[in-house]
Amino acid sequence: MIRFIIKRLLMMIPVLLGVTLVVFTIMYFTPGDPAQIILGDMATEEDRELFREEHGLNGSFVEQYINYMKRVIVEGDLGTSYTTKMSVTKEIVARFPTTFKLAGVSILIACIIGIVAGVISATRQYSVFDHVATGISLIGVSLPNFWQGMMNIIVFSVWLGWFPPSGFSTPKHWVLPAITIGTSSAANIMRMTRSSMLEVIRQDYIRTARSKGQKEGVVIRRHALRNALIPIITVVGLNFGKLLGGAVLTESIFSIAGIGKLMVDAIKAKNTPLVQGGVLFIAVVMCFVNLIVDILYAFVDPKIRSQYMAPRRTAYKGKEETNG
Amino acid sequence: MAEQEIIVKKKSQFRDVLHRFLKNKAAVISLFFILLLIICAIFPEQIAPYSYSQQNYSETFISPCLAHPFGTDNYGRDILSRVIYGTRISIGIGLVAVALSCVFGIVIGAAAGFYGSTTDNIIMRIIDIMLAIPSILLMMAIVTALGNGAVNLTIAIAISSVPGYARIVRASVMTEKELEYIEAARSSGATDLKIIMRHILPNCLAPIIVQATMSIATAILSIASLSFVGLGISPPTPEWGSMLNDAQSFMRDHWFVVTFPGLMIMLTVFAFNLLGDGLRDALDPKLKT
Repeated sequence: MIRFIIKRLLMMIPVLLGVTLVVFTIMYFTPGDPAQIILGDMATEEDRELFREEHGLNGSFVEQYINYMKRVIVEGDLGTSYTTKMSVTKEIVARFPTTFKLAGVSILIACIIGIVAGVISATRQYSVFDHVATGISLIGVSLPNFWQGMMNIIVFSVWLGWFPPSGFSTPKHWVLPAITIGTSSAANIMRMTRSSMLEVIRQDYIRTARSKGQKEGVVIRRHALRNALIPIITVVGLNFGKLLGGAVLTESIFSIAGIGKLMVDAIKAKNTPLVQGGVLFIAVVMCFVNLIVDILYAFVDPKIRSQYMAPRRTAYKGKEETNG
Repeated sequence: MAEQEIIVKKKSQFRDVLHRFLKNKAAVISLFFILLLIICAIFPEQIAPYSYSQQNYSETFISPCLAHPFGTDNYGRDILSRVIYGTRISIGIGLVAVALSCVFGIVIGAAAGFYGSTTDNIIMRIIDIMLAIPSILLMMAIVTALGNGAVNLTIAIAISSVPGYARIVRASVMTEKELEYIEAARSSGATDLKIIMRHILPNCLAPIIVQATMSIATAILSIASLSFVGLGISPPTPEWGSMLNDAQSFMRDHWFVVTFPGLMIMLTVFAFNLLGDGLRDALDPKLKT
């Protein structure tokens, strides 16, 4: 197991290097001189030169990239934000708890609603509940969440006055943003749960379990759901990773100071160090979520666990799997 | 004789698919809705009751009524007309971006799946990198780098949806290339290109068509999201996302300014998703759950 985790951690390195290169390239070719943008028109040429010197903006593309990576890897320094003059690491660390809380609450609600609705839909395929639930879930994946956020504010905050329209200080503030962000995840989880359960329910061992007189609830929970969990965990992981990357637009609508809003503002202001640091951070978080998902597989499915445990067979089987 | 048989068989397969598709009422209705949107996108001048830029300061924020079914905005412009003109951007850019990413995705995915080993490894690692960056941030950064405008918006959306196609095409090509008829084609002296174009890709079409339909839905959402943060389409060109952005500050007093453009985005995306579901069930009944 530990070998597997170490291998996966090592595999993250080239991906993360690639991410920095892609973001660096895009930001490098973004028009506009940061010295000009940040210092304004009043600054002299000397001031601008000093600014460039300070932030390592002189030299060719390759030199700049190597310098940046040296600082990141050797000193663990992601640079200084142009606008606030704070270190990028500090800015991200300050914002992350908010995003994490929001993502956590949203995914929790989404899991409960999605899995319960998906299981009921699958066990009563083609019933009224199934039709309504699949219809709603398809609407859920089609909703632009920034618009849903606006409509939630109009209905629940302006018209009904139940919840505050912005901010993130008390649990009451969490409700609208969490619903807004959680909707599409709930819909995704529901759809995946339904189709995965439907596949499992048709298996012979479910019929066996039923025919030996097992209660329906136990059949569904212990025999069917357990075996349908792998794709559900995958979808939950994917959605959680996405939410941790910041609900970019929703955070802006509810004026929540999270990672998403930070990134939107940084890209608009051409705040290169913050964009690079932020995207790198999000990529790291996503890689870790994927790793946790893979480890969870092992807990749910003994077959996968045995693959992780026996490294020699893993290599062969893993290869075969990716080919298929 | 043999030729005739093949033709007959092809026709019946198409009929089969069509028959299954027509039985799915939701998919058929959404197809009609999409056709209606395409007509709106081609002939907005004939359909919209007013011009999209016609301002009228004596008629700002009129609630929905007979003359203005969707109300008017802060410049007194008719929201219905602007929504109708907005189909041009969403449908137009959506279709072009999806076509572009489809072509690139197929080329990349087919190369990775067909040649395997090193080629596959390199391509898949690049795709992993692209998938590690949240697509909305990637698109925002690309549009910021290239500058606002419909063309750049299209490029950004196309680039960020290439990985999805590449993965699906790669997976289908991998299963397909192991089959015996490919070996037969190869032994008859067909080149790689011919095998891919004539034999493998036609057999992978079903998942590609479904992915394309669904990704038009995603593309329309992306266009709206980017315009909503002020990237992409600049005013006064009507686009659903930028209409929402403009209206955001008035939404507390006038609900209709944000309701209808958003509703259009939702309905359009919903229609494409339903159509995608319907096509998937019709093309590959095995997948139907």
